[in-house]
Amino acid sequence: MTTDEKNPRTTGEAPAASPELSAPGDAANPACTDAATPAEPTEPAASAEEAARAREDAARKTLAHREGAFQMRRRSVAFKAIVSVAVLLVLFVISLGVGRTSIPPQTVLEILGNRLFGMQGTFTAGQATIVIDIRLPRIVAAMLVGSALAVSGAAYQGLFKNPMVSPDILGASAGASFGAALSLLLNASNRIVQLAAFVMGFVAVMITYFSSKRVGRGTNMTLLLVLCGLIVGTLFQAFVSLIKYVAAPDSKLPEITYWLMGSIAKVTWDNLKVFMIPYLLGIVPLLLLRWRLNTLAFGDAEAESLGVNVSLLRGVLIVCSTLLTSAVVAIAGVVGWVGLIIPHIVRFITGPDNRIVVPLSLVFGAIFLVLVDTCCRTLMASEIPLGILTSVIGAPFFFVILLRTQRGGGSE
Amino acid sequence: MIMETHGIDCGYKSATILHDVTLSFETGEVVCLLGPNGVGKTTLFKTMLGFLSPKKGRVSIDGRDRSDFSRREFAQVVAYVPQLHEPPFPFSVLDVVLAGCASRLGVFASPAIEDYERAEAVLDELGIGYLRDRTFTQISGGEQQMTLIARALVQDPRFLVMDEPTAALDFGNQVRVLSCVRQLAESGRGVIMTTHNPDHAFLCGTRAVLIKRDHSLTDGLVDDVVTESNLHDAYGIYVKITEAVTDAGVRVKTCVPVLAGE
Repeated sequence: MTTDEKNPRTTGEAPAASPELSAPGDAANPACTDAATPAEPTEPAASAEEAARAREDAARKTLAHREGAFQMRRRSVAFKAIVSVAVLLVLFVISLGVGRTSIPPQTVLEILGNRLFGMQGTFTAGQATIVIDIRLPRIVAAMLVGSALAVSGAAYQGLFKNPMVSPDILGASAGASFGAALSLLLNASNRIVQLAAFVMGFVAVMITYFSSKRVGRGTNMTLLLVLCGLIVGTLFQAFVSLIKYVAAPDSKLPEITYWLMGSIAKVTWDNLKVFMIPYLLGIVPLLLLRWRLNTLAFGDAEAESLGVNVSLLRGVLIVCSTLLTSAVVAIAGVVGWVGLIIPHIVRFITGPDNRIVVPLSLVFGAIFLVLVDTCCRTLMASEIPLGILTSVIGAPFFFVILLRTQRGGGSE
Repeated sequence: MIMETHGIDCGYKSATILHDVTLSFETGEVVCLLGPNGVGKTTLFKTMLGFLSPKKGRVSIDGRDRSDFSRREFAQVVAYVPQLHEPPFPFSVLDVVLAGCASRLGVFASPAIEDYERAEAVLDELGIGYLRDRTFTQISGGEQQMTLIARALVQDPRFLVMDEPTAALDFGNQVRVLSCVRQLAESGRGVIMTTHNPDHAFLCGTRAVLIKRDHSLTDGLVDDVVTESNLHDAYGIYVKITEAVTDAGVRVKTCVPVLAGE
């Protein structure tokens, strides 16, 4: 506290001015209002007139600065949201046109307009097939996968009060990898592979969750969860290695390895329809609960004293994030980094209020993965696995963000 | 409103630290909890706040059992002002204070314009409106403590339970926090706080509870509890209690410790 701001005069006046200001929520904040009165006799010099003027001044000052808070924030958030959604839409149209056959953005828009609203346009049937049947499902998949990972990453970073946490911290990816690898080894159909990945991702996290409950006595649950996640993750990774070890080295092994590197090249509309179920079940509650994540930042006990049912909230967040992560591995393989770095980038832009961080992570995750996947299919003659490029692009990018935040003492 | 502990045993699974504690706290009082390190002050707080369940006995508010309150209901009656510690994310002061709205908002709701206004009004009342947009992790300890008090007030509780609100603060900020504590009680809220400085009980306490090294409790008016012999029993040191007179003619007692060998 600067001496200037905290001198007895100011402290005496501000509360004196507040009754008229706080009229609407009066019952809510009697705080120190009455208490200021005893301080007044110590400053007898001020005439009544002077005091009244000072009070008016203080009132005007507080009102002026108060008007800002809510609206100011809303305006800046609206601006950032509109810009990032615009970027996503532009990227969406451009990436639909980019590829082995290059299609100009106007033509892409005409094709989309024709399919959505039956508008007329000048394009060939071949171009329409490429855009709608080949590229669109893949780009939609990129947006869904990127947003799912980024939102569950943001939720986990809030829940575990640690900006270094990613969505696979509780073993979801390891479990899902195991499910996929095992079913690939057993020659299962594509649908079974996806189902096995999803189910095992979920099972792994449930093992983590219940073993941490078994160990813990209600204190330090988050740390125990992370430790149990480490155990379960390591175990399932070992199982994956075991499966790779026994897999036939010229047929099964490359299939498993390639699958685990991640790709959305073969995603179909049918896959996406099924994916939408865990996606919506996971992402909608996370969006709705986003502000509550702020209350967890000071620790579980404090959050409870604020009136938050921490264990219930934690359970819901874990279930939703696991739905998202397991579904992503099932459809796209292991895609690293997105869940870790996107929330960072968003916090760098907007500050740490999860009310904004979570929805913006959704948009930025979609942008990032569309960008990376477009690189995957265009940079080289053959496809680059998605999981590799997210790391190759993500890691240096993250480094730059760290440099900026640490040097500038920015918002991180 | 009255908050009571009825013969509670406090402690963890393996060890009971305090036995048969019966205390009552009323709104409008400032009760200072004194005692050496490790004697069970924090354990008692945790039990009263429901972080630990009492091993025996019960905690009640206006006769209603603590365990009958939901988290949400309890937070509307009792707020906790914890010891200072850094959050992992650089929240703004306003964001920290807004967290106090949690018990009055729906599970899926975010603070609306009224909540922002209320939070800002509380900041202004505490004289820290200028901190609104500052980053919590970058303000001074005294400012952080005032911010946490503001968060508790946004909860609009009848009682504030404060864990060493003056720890780690410089002398000036300690006095500012103590003045605020007294004002809170004068405005009709009850304050229960721990402190390591018996002078703080003289300055703003209406009652004191001293936990001695044998875990026994002495409860009463500050002048009756904070005495030379009681402090010796509790801390194992010698003190002299003397009086100062302020410019306004108010008598204030103060403790002067006697160093070993004098």
